[in-house]
Amino acid sequence: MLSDFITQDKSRKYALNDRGRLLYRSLRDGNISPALNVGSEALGHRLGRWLFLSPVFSRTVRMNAFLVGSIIILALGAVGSALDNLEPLFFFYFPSTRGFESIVLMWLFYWVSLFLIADVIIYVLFRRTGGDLQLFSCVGIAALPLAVFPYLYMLFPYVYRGFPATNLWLSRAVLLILQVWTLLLISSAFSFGKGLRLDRSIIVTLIILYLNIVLLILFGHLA
Amino acid sequence: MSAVKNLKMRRNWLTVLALTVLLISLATPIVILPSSANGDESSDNIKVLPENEHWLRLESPIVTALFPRGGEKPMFIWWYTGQPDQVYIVKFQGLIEWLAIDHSSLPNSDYYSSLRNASAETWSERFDDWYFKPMEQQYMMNMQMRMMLLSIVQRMMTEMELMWHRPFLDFSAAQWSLSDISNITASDGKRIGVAFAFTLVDTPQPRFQFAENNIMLRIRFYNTTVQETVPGTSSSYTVNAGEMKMDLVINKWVWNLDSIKSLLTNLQSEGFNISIPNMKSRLALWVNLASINITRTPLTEAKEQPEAIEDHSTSTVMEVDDHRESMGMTTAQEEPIETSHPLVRIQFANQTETLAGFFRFVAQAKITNYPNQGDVNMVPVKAAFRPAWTHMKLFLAYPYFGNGTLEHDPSIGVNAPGISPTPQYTVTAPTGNAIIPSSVVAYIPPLFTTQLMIALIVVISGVALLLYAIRWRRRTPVNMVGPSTHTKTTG
Repeated sequence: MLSDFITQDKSRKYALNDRGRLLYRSLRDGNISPALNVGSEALGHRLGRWLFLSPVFSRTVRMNAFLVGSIIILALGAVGSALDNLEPLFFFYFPSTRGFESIVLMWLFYWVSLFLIADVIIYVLFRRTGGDLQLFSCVGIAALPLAVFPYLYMLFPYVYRGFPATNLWLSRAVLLILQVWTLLLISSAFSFGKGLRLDRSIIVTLIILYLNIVLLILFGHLA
Repeated sequence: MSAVKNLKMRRNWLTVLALTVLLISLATPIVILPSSANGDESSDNIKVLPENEHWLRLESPIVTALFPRGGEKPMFIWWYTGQPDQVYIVKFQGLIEWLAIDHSSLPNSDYYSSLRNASAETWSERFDDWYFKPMEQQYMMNMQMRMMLLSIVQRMMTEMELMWHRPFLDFSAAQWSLSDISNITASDGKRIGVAFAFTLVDTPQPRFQFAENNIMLRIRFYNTTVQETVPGTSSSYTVNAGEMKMDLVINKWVWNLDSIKSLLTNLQSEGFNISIPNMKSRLALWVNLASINITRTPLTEAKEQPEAIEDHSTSTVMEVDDHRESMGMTTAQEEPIETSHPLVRIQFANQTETLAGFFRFVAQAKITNYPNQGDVNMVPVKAAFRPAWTHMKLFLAYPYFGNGTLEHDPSIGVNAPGISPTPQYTVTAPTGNAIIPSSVVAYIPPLFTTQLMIALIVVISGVALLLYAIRWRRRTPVNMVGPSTHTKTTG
């Protein structure tokens, strides 16, 4: 049991492993992280774990490296969408004639907003505090599919040169898959970042998705 | 020991995977961008040359067009380059101010009618007959009240006579200037069109001096199909290759009715219950549409007499949104064009066939700085027409826009084979006094559809339901996440 939480370094000194760190933080904050698998049942088969990137998120407790990684992902997404002239609105992309810098700022704005909104909703609904930096790291990692999409979108016209209809159909299909994946990753991110069970964190994700739809209506995209 | 090895291997794989994704992401623009920049095909197929001392000639593989070199009002003679014997004409005749006041003796106030022209003589008489005289009789006023009413009404009549301009601003009577012909260049360096503008710079009518330098017709002509977006709004539309896009810009119009509104308010505050329903001013753009068969009338003859060019017209039929309307008669009343289409298309035709030329307009106009400074609103445009034996008199009616700016975009062109309906570029339409689009970038087909959004909601809601179903069935909270890399997970 104890071996689940400790490890030995090269000089054979004992130290907490990732789960140990999570357990320490959980005991300190009073939140039980789902990664600890305490008192709950996990659907941890291989596909599920990689769909929710749980092996990655479980390491975000070592914040510094993943914080940098998540900032790089956000920056990549911002640059990619600006290069493609794709204006983001949380989980959706729209053609834009705005300048490069404006799109970059919009991308970063929406993802930082998502982090802040999630933090507030989780506090209001579940009274969870702390772990904000880890939540930010997790949210940044969850943005990976949508950050990669603009680069795939750049490639499609070259792959399907001369078949614009296929290109459009494929782009939309790939975007839908990546949107679904991002939303699942965001649920996972809330789960790890704030120690929520997945059935609760997916509710927070749904609330954010509906807020996104409200914005789509307000900005006239559903007219 | 093997668990530690396994952990290390997984960690390495994870690092390799993350690095690969990041490297591919970084490398993609480097691979893509040079090829977009090098994709400059020869597209310099639009020429604007002097035709003679009065006309310029715009030549392209799809459309050839003639327009005045400067000084004269905006008009265009154009034809399908592959079919030069049938030419089409649009003449911008002028602006008409009219009043949308509701009264049973007048037609529908949504559409322009010449009976509604904002003429001081006509309307002072109507105000008197419709509102003041009945009130005088109805209330059996005492002498003092009657004198007060008469004095205010008299003041209003004088004000109307002194302040009101004529309802019709005749573009022919004004002096126009033609701007330089500028290239429209895309962000990839390709020249995709030309832009220029006519500006009303002088008018001999003193009461129309406010219109000087405040009325402009911006023109853009593209050699490839583009999508234009209107800045500050979510409005966008497609402009086909060979279509001449125009923006009528009217800035700071002085409205006749505004000068008497305060007097009418005074009347109400003095206790006279005068209610004028829908007391609003509106403006109509009058354009004439005609077509000439050059085998019967030489083009030189038409060019030499631009004012009488409609006399040579053979447009006895016009198709308005697929309805054939006969022009072979004349009527005193304008007929409304009732359509719900966002783009209203008027196609030239004759008795036997539909011709290639068309005039079309977006059924919305943009109003800026009204009612408040900085406001941007889209307003409906209602059209009416009057047949005139051989041509169509078209009236595009715009709502009141106070001291703000109105922009509306009619266009002309031809239906030609082989024009791709898919835009190649997204162009930000110029606003204000600008003539050239502020941004021209590669077109991105819309990735967002309502169906895809619904699909996304359904999938995520489905996952949530699944989680709750599992929780209910197993009677234990569900975590789809694995506990740790070296711990076996339970199903």
